[in-house]
Amino acid sequence: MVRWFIRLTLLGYFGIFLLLTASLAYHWAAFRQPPLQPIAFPHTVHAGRLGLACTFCHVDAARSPQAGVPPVEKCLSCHRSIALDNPEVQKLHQHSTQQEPILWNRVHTLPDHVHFTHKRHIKAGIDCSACHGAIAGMIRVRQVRTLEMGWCVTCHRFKGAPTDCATCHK
Amino acid sequence: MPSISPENLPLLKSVLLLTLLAHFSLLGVLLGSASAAVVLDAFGRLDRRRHWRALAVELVVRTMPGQGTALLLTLTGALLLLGVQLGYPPLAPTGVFWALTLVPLFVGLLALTAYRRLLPREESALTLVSGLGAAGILLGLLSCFLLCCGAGLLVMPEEWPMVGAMPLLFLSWSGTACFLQFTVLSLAATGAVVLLLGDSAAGGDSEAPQFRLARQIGATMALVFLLAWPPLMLFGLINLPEIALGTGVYGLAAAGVGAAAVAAIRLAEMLRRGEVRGGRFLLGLILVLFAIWVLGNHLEREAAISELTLAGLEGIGKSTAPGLEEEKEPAGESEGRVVFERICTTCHRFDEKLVGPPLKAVLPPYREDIEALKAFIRQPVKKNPEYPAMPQLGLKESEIDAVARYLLARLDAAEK
Repeated sequence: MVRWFIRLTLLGYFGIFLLLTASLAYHWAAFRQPPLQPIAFPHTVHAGRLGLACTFCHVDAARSPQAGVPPVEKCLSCHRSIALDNPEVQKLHQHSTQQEPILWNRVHTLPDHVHFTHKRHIKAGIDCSACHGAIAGMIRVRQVRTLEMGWCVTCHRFKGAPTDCATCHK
Repeated sequence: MPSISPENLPLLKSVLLLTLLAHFSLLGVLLGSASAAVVLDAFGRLDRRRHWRALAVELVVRTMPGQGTALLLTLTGALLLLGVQLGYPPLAPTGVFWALTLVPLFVGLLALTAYRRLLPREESALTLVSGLGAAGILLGLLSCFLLCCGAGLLVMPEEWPMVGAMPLLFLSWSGTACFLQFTVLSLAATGAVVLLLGDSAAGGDSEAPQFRLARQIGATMALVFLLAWPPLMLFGLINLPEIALGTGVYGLAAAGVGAAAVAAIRLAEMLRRGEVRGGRFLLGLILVLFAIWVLGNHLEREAAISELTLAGLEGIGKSTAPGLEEEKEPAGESEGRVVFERICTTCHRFDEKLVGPPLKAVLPPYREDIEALKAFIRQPVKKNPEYPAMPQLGLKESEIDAVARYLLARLDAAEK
């Protein structure tokens, strides 16, 4: 009796931690993977092989708080006649025909109480890859920096940028 | 510092893994045994329990290092740092880090060597002996803490550019969790060693008080620290940066919990029955836990350190990006070159066909009519059925003017 009580207690104790580990693993696998996009746009081809600058498509990055994504027309400026047999380019044409925007799934998100402006960072000389990593090497874009307040404040301190609360929490 | 070629990198990392396992498991047992001996000796002397002191002496004599072991462990520590320097060159340990890690380790192990010599002598003062042992333990733990913090920093590449100017960034919850896991595993392994000590007494000696005490204390110590292992393992997982996570990391964590459960249940049953044996099996299982811990840290590093995560870090250390420096140059030819390299080279070269025709073939008609060239760049018209239509580029007027001038200037230079 005592023997089984001890066994069950210990199994229960270690079982709880095994369950917690499994929960963390499930959460990571289900919710923390890079999102699938409606069109499998490969940065490896466009930013990598073709060497397009980030601002070729994300035109607002240097002049706006939001980097944004290009309209369908931007993609069609090349793909009106290039790679028409590619199924992903065909999806692009469908969106154009149906006059529907592409509902991209956001990869880098900051909480609503954080005011981040791309323009100021680019004007300060921060390269896109400093915060986004080697996008040109990513078949599916994923977040490679924590983008947590601690990191942002550390970099601001390192570079002598303002660290006043109102800088980012307007 | 010589660099490692990519094809030798897997071999280097395998050697690094084995060195990590040897270094930390050996050092863990040494420091744990010294800790147990200091406590047993203190209680033995203060409470006049001779068999406690006898066990402390037996433990120290069997496990404490000679000067040779001190040198060997310092050497494995140096090999670890060298392995990191060669395997992860962007974060090569500085000279200060080498000194802060290896000097306390060597001095601490020498202190433990002196402790080993002094403890068996009845005339040695408790304060001196315990102080020497404690100093050796603390210095050894300091070295391990610094190595574990280094391991924590390795899985956070985004901190690397700034850690030189802000050394406190070296500390992290991830590194602290790694150190706590090492401490708990070391103490569990020490429990197994003490149990083995009680097991290994021959014949009638096995019932001598210090050996019975060894079996009881060893088993209890191992059980307590095996129970402490899963929460610390979970603490480590929660504090890992997301880029360091992977299926292997979670799998190894689960395997670690499983192995600890097997050992803990076996120990608990032995303690309940009052027949405590099997120190070898227990020590083997705890060494497996050490291997799981080392391998888990390795998988975290492999996931966190890649070309994708290292890109752009050097830019954090710079005050301005090269692109912006060029933008500040006077407009004209250099602005035209920037636009050409940023936009036109996607599809064009001067001397060869790419997506579009070679520029030296299509530019000559515009030599005397730059306005026509600018009009074409502004609103491209399909002229040649062999090529796809040139897209509208959305350039500003100043950019169109600059790139048109640049193209014609370069055409002239090529023809001279």
